[in-house]
Amino acid sequence: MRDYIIRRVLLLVPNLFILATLTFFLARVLPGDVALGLVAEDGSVINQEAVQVIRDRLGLNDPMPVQYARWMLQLLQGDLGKSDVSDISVVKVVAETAEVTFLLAILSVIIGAVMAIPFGILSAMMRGRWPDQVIRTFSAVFLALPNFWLGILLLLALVTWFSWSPPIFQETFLDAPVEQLQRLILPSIAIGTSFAAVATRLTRSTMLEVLNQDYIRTARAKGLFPNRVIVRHALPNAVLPVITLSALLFAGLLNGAVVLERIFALPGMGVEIVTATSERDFQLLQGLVLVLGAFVMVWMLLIDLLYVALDKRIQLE
Amino acid sequence: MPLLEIEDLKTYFYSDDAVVKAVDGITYDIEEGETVALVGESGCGKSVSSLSILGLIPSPPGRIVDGEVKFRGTDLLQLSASEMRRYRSRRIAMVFQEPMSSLNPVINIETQLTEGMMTQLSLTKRQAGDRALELLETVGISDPERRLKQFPHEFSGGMRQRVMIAIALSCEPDLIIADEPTTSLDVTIQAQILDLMQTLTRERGMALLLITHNLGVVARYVERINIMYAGRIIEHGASTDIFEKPSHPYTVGLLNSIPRIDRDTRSSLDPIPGQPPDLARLPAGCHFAERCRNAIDKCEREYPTTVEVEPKHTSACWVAEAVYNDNALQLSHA
Repeated sequence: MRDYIIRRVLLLVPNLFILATLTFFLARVLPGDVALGLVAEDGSVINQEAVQVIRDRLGLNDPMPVQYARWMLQLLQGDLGKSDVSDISVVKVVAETAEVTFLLAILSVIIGAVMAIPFGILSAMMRGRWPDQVIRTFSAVFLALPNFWLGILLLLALVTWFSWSPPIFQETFLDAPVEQLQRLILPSIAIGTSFAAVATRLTRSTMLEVLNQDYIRTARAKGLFPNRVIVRHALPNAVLPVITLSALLFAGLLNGAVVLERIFALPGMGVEIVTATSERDFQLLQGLVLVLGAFVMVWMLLIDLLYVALDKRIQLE
Repeated sequence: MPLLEIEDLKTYFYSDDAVVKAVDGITYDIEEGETVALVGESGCGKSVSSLSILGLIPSPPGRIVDGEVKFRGTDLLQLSASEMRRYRSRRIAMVFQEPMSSLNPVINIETQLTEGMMTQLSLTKRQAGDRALELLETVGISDPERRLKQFPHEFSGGMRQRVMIAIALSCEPDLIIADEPTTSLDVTIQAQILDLMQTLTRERGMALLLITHNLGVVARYVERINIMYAGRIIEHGASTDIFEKPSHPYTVGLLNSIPRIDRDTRSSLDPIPGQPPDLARLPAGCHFAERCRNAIDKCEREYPTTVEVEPKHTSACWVAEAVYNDNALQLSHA
């Protein structure tokens, strides 16, 4: 077990190397560069000399392989560099924005699972009857709703009816946990609901399948209480595919987070990535994508470990 | 009073356009401590009839439409779900056909073995654990302490069936229903498992209902045999009578299709031609008529009444007497 975790963590290194390489070249496929943006900011005619000065300073005139080698050397030293635009260290930007994004993603998955699993079970148990119909209808509706739109509706509803809007502040989760959660709860519900829409259906169908298994018949033949048959015998088998789904959807959830961060004015990594892309701030963009990638990879590792804990047939070797 | 009396039990499966009469009015009984077999081809309704006893029919689409299942005089079909639950494994336990899929893959053996005892006998976790150890030893699993902590995938098919037997024994039931307990096991293991079940149930005075498609297998284990065909019991009698003087052409066919070492190999194997009828479209007359060598005109029109060919030996066949006499005659010649 410990060896496996160590191996997986070590595997992060080559994975992140590939990600870093891809980000580097993909960023440079974009037309234009940061120098053009900086000079043209005041709307005047572009001063070619000024552009060249900035490019020289940022090393953008060097051949691509040289730039790439410089970026890699920098990474090897554990340095994400400084923003091309603002000269702020990328690590500092990440430190300020990562918390919101990660908390948002984790909270969304938790909210999604908390909704999906009970509703999925209920739907399967009541198959064909009205609770099943209602749950299936709602999951279809939420599947079709874009989560950012749901976020806007939630925000409007609370502001209009309860005159409540999420707090705006600068502290971190540790300093102000309640405020942080208040700020994140609406977007988390919005993202979580769209995750739950898929996960409810999956829970329902895997549950129906599991309930037909021979071992459920054995459990019933033992004279166990129906609740135990469902919770202890059926559920652990039925949630395995849902956990897989949550791993797969996780990267997708982060995409949705970008839009929701904008709507809810959250200082998250998503907003920074969009800004960095539009300003061609390569250093910042590369740094942010790398951290996000590492986060997704660690998440996948946690999912794998959860899998092993739930199903002893799965071997780690 | 018999331990279990099944009276005209009918279990049908309903789909949009058809009614499948899986069990269509069967009657048989089991005495206390007795070993009885229910024999028939796959799909003849024998498993459905046994699942009906404990209310384990998947419903919908299945439904018990008529009949009585009396356990020491109490009709189990009239019980509420929670009353029925108390009979399961406490009074009547089951061993299923597929040991590979009948144990929950994500729960360890100890929990699967003790949970029934904790629910039905109100044992504490420790008491149930101690009993679980004994039970594993009883069913011939060595190193039970280590085995209890393991998961089903760490057991072979035969070992899992032993665990299933341990589970069935755990609440000291009065009757164990074993539904094809050895069908999916290696031939060498089959006899071991059957011997084990016979010994353990005899020692404890438990009755055993052995459900199988293999008439040859049950020969030396059971006292009485019920032969089932297309949802009905077509012959019933003491084990020796059925083997020596079969009185239904179907039983004769089953016996002829058993490979036997004491017969000439070229002439011995004689399979029954054709297929069993579709249970959703049963013929008006005898269900076996189409495949029967002895069929007469009447067989196509009218379902046979059950006749007693000798004491405690019945056959649902229009020509039962003739078939019986024919086989009894051969016996006296032999």
